[in-house]
Amino acid sequence: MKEFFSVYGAMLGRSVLVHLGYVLLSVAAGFILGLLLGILLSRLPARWSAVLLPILSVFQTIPGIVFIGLLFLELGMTPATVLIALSVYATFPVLKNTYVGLTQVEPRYLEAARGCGMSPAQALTRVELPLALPTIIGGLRLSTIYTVSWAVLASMIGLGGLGDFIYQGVASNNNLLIVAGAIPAAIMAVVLGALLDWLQRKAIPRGLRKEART
Amino acid sequence: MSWSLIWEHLYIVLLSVLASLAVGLPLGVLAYLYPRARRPILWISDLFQTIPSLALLGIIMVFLGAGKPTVVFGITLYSLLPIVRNTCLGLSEVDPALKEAARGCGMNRSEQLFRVELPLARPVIFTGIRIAVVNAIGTAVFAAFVGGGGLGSSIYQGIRTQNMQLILLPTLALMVIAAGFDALMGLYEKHLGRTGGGGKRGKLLPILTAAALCAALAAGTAAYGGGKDADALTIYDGNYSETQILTHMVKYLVEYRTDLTVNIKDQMTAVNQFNELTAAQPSCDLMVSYDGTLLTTFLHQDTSDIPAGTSLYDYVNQQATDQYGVRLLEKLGLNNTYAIAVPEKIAEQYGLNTVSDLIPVADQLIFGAEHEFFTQAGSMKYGPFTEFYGLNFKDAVSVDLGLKYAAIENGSFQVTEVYATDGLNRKASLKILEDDRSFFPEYNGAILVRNDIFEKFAKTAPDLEDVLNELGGLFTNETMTDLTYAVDVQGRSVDSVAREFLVQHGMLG
Repeated sequence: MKEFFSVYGAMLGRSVLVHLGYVLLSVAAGFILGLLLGILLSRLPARWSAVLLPILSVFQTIPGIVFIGLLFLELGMTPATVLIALSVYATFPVLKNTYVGLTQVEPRYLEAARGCGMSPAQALTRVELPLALPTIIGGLRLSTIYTVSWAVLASMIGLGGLGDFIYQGVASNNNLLIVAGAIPAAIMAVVLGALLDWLQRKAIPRGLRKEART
Repeated sequence: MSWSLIWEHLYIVLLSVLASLAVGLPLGVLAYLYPRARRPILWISDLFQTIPSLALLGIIMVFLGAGKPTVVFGITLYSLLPIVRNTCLGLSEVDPALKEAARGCGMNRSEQLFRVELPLARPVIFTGIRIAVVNAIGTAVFAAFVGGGGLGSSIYQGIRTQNMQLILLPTLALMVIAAGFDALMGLYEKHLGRTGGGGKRGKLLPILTAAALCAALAAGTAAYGGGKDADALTIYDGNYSETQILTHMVKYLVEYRTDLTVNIKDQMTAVNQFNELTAAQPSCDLMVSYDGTLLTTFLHQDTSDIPAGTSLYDYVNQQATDQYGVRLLEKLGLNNTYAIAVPEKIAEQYGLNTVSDLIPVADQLIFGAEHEFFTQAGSMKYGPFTEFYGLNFKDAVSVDLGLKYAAIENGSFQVTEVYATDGLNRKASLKILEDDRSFFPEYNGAILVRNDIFEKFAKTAPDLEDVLNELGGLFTNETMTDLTYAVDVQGRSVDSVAREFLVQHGMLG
């Protein structure tokens, strides 16, 4: 074990940071994009989403290696390749949950908002989004956990991260290397997930918290 | 891409989802019935999702060996979460009034569960299964990394040779399959909902479905399960063109000249093939390999371990027989050693002919190669190589083996390590620099057999060894490069290239 850390210790530290960097940047980008598109979709007539959502979920089945591979042939070996691919994947769950969260807001709340004289924009930001926030954060959590896993593919195109350990381990049948890549990735996913769980609880509007607990 | 790849892919998905159902449904019910068990069960199935798929498969591979079992087991674990979670969720969401009514009718606990709660929870459970199936279709692409076959192997080959068609067709197939299954399961669910599970018509569909699944499973197992056949020689397919071509030549030649059938099983890396070949219960009879690989990768030795006056080939043959009961047949004639290569343009620009010529200019060049070349164990690696020659590259990057040529062609790095007989060297117009100080050992291609196979097949193929040795000395690096070029660059099938070569040499009728 000691020997392992003396050989790989520095590389492991660097890989964790690079990996985390990819995850945070692309999840942030995916979150903003997913949120905006989700809001947009919820404003459109329902038959739009009936067509678009299944199409999106099919696109989600495009394997990461294909997407990163194709982008790589276009853009080359730059972090942009990884970030774009990961952001796109991170967008889907946020988009879906934003849409679901917004459409599930009970009509009576909307009516109340209108009754108070709120404009549609005010109703969105002050009533709908706060009510949908727990669901949206649920989507963000899903995105984050997936992205931690997908970011392994960065090392497929020579851009580091924890995937370096996993790829090298699989290539040389070295368990220790695989585990050295997998455990930090799993910890990262669990910690980020727990953080978002906490945020999700905080996000439930105060007036609704008691109701949510039962 | 062929239909067989699609069937193989579907078989993997089917098997894993069924296994996941068998485990996940009871777990979900358990989590519902015992609130105490709920948290740990959900937490554990959640945890599997956080392990990157490649890592999970890699770890399982160590225990189950390369091939389908590893893939199926891995995807089963991945599919657990949606199934367990939705089963538990669906059951919890059943209207308490209905549960009470069931109790009021005098049903006992299991009757309540099976006749009221589970049927009512079905839509939610079904959604979980749908998610699991769609995810499994995507995840099964990783099967190609651990020798499980499926559409991933075509995608991977496409990325390696930058063949858009090979990448996009299977991707499209995946999307269509995923969408198709999703829609089909949606319809199925709706239909079940309408008939309400009662009456004759309602029973017919589930029974038909179960029968169809069983038939598919049986057909798949027959095709891919690799039943033991006493009169069949079993080989795993190689994971790159050269070994694939040679494997197919062995098949044609042996089947033509003896009464043996030759089964070529899933693609597998050399290390895994060797593990299978030398296992207590070997699942293959021979493999295509190289004396240099035997020395460094399998025997974990170094060129310095070879006593003076003994050749690499003779030395490893002795060692392999003593330690593993395997030996190499006659050298095939090709020497697929590692070689250091640069694009022709770079060679001209810097006047490079030998590896030593790189020394003064290395600080202006980036070195790139596949991940395996950068591992710390073993001597044929980046660290020892640069130290040996005293090279200080500007930077060193490790990429996926499949993307190496694409990366050097688009200028991501300028110096790389290649296999000497790779047809892609010619396509990327790479110049191989002479290993002037002989850092890399020879990698003479040869067929590696278990010593006992000639005895095993003595009845059906008494002259098996002689037949296999007819391939000895048949190749040069030049001819092998032609063959891999035909497959990797011209896109011809391994099968036809192998057959044509043998026919040209008068070895097949």
